[in-house]
Amino acid sequence: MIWRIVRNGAIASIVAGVLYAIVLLYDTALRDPRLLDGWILFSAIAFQLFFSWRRKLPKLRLGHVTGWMQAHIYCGYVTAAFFAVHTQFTLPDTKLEWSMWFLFILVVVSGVVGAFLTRSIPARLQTKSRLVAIENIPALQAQLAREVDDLVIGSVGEIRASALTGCYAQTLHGFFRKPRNILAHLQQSQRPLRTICDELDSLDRYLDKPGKETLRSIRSCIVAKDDLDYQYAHQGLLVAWLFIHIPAAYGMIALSVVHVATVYAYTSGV
Amino acid sequence: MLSGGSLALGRSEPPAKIGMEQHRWKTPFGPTPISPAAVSRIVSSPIFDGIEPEDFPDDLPFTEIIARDGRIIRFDQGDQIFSERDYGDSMFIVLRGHVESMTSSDDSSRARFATFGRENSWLQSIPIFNDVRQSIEAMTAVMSRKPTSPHDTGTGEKAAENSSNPDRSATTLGKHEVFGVSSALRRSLRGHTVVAGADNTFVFELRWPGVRDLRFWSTDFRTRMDALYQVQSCIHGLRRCSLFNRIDHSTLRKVAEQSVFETYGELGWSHRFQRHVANPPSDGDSDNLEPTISGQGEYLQECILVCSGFVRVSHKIDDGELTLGFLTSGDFFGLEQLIAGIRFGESQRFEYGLRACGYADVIRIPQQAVEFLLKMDRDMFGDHDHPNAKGYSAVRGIGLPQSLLDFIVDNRFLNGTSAMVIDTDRCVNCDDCVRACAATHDNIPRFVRQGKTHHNLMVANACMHCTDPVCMIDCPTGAIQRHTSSGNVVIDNTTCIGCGACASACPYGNIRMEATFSPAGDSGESGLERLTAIKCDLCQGQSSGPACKRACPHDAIMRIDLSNAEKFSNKLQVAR
Repeated sequence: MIWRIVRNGAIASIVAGVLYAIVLLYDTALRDPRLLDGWILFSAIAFQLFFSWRRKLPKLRLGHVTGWMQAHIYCGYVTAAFFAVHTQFTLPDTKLEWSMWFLFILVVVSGVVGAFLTRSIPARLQTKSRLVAIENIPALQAQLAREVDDLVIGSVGEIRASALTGCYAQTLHGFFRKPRNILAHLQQSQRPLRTICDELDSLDRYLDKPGKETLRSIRSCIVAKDDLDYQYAHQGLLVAWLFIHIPAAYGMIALSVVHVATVYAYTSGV
Repeated sequence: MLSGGSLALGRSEPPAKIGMEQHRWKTPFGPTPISPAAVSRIVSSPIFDGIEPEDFPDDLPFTEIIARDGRIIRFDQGDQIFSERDYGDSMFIVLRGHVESMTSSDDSSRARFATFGRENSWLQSIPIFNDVRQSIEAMTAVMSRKPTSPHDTGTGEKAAENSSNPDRSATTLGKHEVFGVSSALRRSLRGHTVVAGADNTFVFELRWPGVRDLRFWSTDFRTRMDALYQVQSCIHGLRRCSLFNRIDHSTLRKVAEQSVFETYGELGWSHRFQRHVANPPSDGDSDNLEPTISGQGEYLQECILVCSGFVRVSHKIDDGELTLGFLTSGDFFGLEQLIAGIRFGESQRFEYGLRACGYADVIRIPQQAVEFLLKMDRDMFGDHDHPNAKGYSAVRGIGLPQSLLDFIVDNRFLNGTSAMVIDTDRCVNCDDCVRACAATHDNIPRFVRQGKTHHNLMVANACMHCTDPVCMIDCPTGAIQRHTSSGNVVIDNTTCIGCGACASACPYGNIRMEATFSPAGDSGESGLERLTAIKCDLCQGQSSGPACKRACPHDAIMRIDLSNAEKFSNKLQVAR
């Protein structure tokens, strides 16, 4: 794996170096280098679009998607370098350019963050007992909520359960209704779980034997729900960053087309 | 000498529901069903002696099995009937002419055989080909002799050998002789190449469902087939072993005569395994599931060659057994100790125990046979430097972490030649693999992205294309079969009747039943969608390989031969 990083990094650096040399030669020939590095930048951005199209066409024999993914990532680094060259490390001065600049930064940052997340989150998910597909989480969550409802409703009348029902109304009902403590889970914090379990444990002294049994069952449901929340938070994040990266990328490309048209409207194009 | 259990399918009920045969017979094995006159000639072969047609149910008549599950094929001299690298699930009977059987040790001579008949006009001028022609003539002469080998089972089906030329392992098989039995019963590689030895050689081929039904309904046929299976497997098992490459065929036959062929467990081991997984015995007794081949501490009087199946090598620790590794086809056990015992005159004991993982065929080669070989050639076993002769170095899986080894062996994953292993540390659950699979297979994905997990490795519920595909045993129509050249286990949707026999036999739950429409897009005669068995076919026919692996952006999917522990271990290290 390290070998792959070194190899791909070296290839990307060489490609970037060669392209930059060509830009310098273009400049030496007393032409506007920003036109050339602009086109290189635009081509690199357009090339990266092919990655998502390749994923949508699995039947075509266009190589392994892993290779495309690597090309996408390293081409992204080259693109970022050429963006710096093209903007000459300066901030934009028009609204259109500001929009493009902002979208480009958003795409790059979300891409880098996304690459980090796709490498780190799967390992984090292994810390839980079993992996649940994100689309199954709402159903399992609803099932747990029903179980707890039944436990609490079943305890009413049979045992002295006012403490339990009170806790349910105040805390548990809301806890089981939807995913909770997303940020805490992303920080790997156990605090929310400990808080709710401590609250439940504090009821133990008020309950008789059947009540304590019910309490234990509810406690196991809370742990299971917390587990689901953990998975929801992490798997959700794995998907969420794409909702920033992809629309921003398409927005940037649309603005780039406008930018190219504008440039050619006001320059000789050489 | 042959012994051991029968090749019970592990089921007491008929292998196919009555009435399903008609469905499989809609498409006869040959272009047309065999004519009654030809059938009567075929059933006069000694292999069918003692079969009582009235023992067969009314809707599964004996003659119809022959007519519709069999076909007659004509070959000219040099035509290849099958290659040793082919997978097979059918048996053959020579009806007219003769055939030559040979193994990879005589690859070059096979090439010569393949062209001899066609091109002898110019080949005759080359001395080496004259030698081959003389060999053929010698073998043809032997063919005409009445078989007297102790391996004959009294039915004329001589066990594929010829001692006329000690330098060659080619064998002539004449009229009524049977071949291809071991691969038909084991659904495995043929292991030897068979070519027609004369023009107008006619061969009868019987596909697996027919073989299975005949075995089920006729005790005589079953007994004869099992005997034949043991003879052919013993000879082929020894012949395939690289250690015996240096010895001539007559010596090999002597070794085979002294050796004992044994079968442990059942061919249809998966049902028992599934019951065991569902309800593990409280006392941890595994004798029923994994019959003992050799107990730890037993005196070493023979070495063991595994012919087929898988064998667990374990060591007793306190009340349990620690798995050291496993053996599979072609692996030796205890040879080095036996040689050391012979050389130093000390009696040795098995340091480890051997158990069959569900099913295994083994050959016990006794000390006398090894002594005999050592007397012939002191360096026969390479003075311990042969990879197979290094005591327990043949044991696979030693480099793997203990828990991973246990995971693979306990779950029988070592059966998988193309298991889908997902690195869950890299998988982001994007489902691109599932979508790619669906896109390649009429929008029905052929696997489920879940399965048993060990640490970060998930063996997904995708067909592993097993070494021992137990799913094929019970298929009433023969719809599930091995692809002849690749060995991939594939389902023919046109003959699948959706009975679910394969799905219930698969010990890994990798076959599922899905409602599908006919290939034409309509819903069949009944107007309803029909159930068919769905499983991974490794994107058969697509040169680019499995779509799932190709589609994974994060390099999380591996298709691995789990019986190749060394390769598996290397892959894991590369993936880190």
